[in-house]
Amino acid sequence: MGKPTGATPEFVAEAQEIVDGLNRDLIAAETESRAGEVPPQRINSLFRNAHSLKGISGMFGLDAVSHLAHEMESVLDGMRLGKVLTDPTALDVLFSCVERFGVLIAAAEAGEGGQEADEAVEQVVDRLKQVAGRGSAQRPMGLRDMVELADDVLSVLTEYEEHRLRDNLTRGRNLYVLRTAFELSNFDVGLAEIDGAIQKIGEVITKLPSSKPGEPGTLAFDIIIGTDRSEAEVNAAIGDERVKVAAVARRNAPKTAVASASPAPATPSSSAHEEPLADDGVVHDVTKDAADEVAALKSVSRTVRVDIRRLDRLMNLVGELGLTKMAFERLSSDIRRQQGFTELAAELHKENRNFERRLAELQAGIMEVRMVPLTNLFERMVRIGRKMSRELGREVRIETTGENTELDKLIVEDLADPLMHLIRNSIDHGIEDPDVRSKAGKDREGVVRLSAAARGNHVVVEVSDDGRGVDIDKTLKVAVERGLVTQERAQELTRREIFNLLFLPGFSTRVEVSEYSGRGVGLDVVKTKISQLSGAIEVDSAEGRGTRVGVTLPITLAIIPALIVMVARRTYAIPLNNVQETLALEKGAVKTIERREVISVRGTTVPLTDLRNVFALGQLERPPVCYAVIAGVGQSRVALVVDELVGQQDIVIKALGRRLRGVPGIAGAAELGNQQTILVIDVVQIFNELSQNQGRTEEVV
Amino acid sequence: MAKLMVVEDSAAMRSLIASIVGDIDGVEVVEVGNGFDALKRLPRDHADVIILDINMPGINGLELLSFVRKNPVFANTRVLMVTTEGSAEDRRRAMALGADAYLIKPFEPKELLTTVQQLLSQGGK
Ligand SMILES: Nc1ncnc2c1ncn2[C@@H]1O[C@H](COP(=O)(O)OP(=O)(O)OP(=O)(O)O)[C@@H](O)[C@H]1O
Ligand SMILES: [Mg+2]
Repeated sequence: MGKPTGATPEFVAEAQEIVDGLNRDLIAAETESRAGEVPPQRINSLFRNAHSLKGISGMFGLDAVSHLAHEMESVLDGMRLGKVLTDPTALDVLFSCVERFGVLIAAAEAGEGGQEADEAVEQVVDRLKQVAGRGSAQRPMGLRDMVELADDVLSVLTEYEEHRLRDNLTRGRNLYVLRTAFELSNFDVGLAEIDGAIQKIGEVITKLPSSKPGEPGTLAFDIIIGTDRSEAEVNAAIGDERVKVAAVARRNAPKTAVASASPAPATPSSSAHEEPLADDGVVHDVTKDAADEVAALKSVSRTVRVDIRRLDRLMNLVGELGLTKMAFERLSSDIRRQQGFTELAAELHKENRNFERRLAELQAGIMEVRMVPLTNLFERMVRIGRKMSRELGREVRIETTGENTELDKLIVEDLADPLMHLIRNSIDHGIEDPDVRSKAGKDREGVVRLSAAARGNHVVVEVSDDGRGVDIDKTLKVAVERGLVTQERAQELTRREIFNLLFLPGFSTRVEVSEYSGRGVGLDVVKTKISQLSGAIEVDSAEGRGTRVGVTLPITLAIIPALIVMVARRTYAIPLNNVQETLALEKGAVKTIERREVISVRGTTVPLTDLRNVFALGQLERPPVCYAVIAGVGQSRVALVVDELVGQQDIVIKALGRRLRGVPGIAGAAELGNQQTILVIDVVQIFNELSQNQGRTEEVV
Repeated sequence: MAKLMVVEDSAAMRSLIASIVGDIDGVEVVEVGNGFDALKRLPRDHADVIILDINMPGINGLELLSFVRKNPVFANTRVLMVTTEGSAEDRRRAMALGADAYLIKPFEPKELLTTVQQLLSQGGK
């Protein structure tokens, strides 16, 4: 086996994951550094990622990546060992590394070089070297002189762990050894619990496993932690008496009492953190240097990087302001009702309108910041598509349109995998071999088209091809074979229902396994992902002419307009983008066809679903007059029966508490103006449940 | 049949190493992605040679190595550390703790092959 050369898909996937991880950590580090200090775990995580990237890129022959990762790693190594300052200048250079990696990996993936380091790489390397050169030299004190820890413990520490130990000591924190034993089968769970508890009060420095003689099947651990808490507090934080906590004594520690109940008094300092206790003058005051450095440096950049979660928070605040606005509106109309149109009432009304307008602008402004064009994603898809077609020996041209269409950044990020899958399907299942194509009178070169277009509050992204189309007979045959439909039912399915079979879990018509397809993670996974984004997916196909898969997505996830309804005296919100119309439901309108309730909406039959049944609220009878909310996802429609229509309102969807998470049909919670929390209905999920139930009853028949 | 365990958190690196050493006649390769899983599997899959990365989340290579070396059950197990050029200090510590050999990434497949073959022939089996 020779040395692998270039970017295999496996390499690219992992490299990209690493680069994403670096980027996430850097963004977090920037925030942390502004707030005071970047925690050691963060720097270590950055280091580990740079280290892994260097390792794999070196092995896979991507010398430029490996060269840059090497320099980055050594700067980060210096940082985590306290030899190099972690300041804005340094973070900036690290960001440049991440950008370079992105470019290099993309180029390598597209087979367009990226092997040799170019000028741009060397520039970043030079800056890294400058950063490394600004380090503060420390003469570390031997740990054996500082602390009472057995040699066989000290000798296992990595250089980094040793530094963490020393750093905790110089900061006057207490050290403890936690001794505990676990079952071999689930010790990682137990360790994770301890990790979680310690992270709140300090830091885990090292975990040493040892097996207790005479007790096979169990694994003992000595965990060394640093914290400013007392032994009692550590015990309380862990809350498990099987974990034995023992203080580690210091050697000739002048000021700090051994495992004292309170941390050593810190000298006030300019930074938010304790000044290191200069035990014998070896510790250099790094924070002061950093402050000087920053003062000398005026930012020249006109852009800022913002963690998207901050925007989420702002967006939520705007949503809450919206609720406040509604409260004002209610007050203002109460006043009007009670006192008539007085001057005060008019004034209030006017100011309220003003408030409303500004709020709408604010909301739009924040939304705009979250929006990114699909350009990058599409470019990436084209590259991947090209590569796939090369490897599968197809001649395929990949076209894109509408890449300027904008979507919420979070949605765009989650779209990469589903789109990749669809493109892969088009190339693998759709586009025929060149010879087959020319026999069929088609161009030898197949076309896969990736398009996006805005439709109001939605964006439709499509992947289409001019290939052979979905093989309907084969699809039906497989569905029957796998017991997804009965033979009889199969005869009756409409084209659309047949295509929907492709989204059922485990469906795959491929017999042999190619590198890109037939791995069992099929369209059902794509559908789940899209549903999680509150989107819908649909297939349309014509035999011999091609296939089109349409993905409809909301442009943002944060704030949505909703219809507020009542069912059995409870309030629910139905996202308005799923609502097509509402109508009063007269008794006579409901018919029963094949034991299912349906109504006729302007000529078409729509199945009826009583939310009372969905949420098991059967205690209260359906009132004589109720309403139907016609909800649509893609082309499917359903009439949801509710007791009352309350009105329309913008809501901010919040994640559910633990108790309700996973309740089918519920997307989240939202707050109404009067402190009332209501549940938001997940229409897509209700559709899924419906079609599954339908499948099940049909199997029984 | 000799057993090799590859402990490495990078999937690309791990399968690369596994595919190189998998070419040796009469070996079975076990791949594990982190130190925790290695700890779980070691008592079951007695490995003749462990190919061990140092930098891993959870339990790192040195911690795992010390566990192996302290446990008489694994007296015949050879440990090959896979390190990088930068981690000279940790490499030194690994050797002091009783690692049998080390490789520095990036290495040639041939180096890995010969080192593992050597370790296998030293094994006390
Ligand atoms: N663009 C397309 N043209 C023709 N048939 C398609 C197309 N996309 C999907 N199909 C059909 O739908 C089936 C299901 O696709 P799906 O992606 O779920 O599974 P798969 O591609 O067979 O395997 P996997 O995706 O797990 O590797 C395919 O086997 C194929 O028959
Ligand atoms: Mg597929």
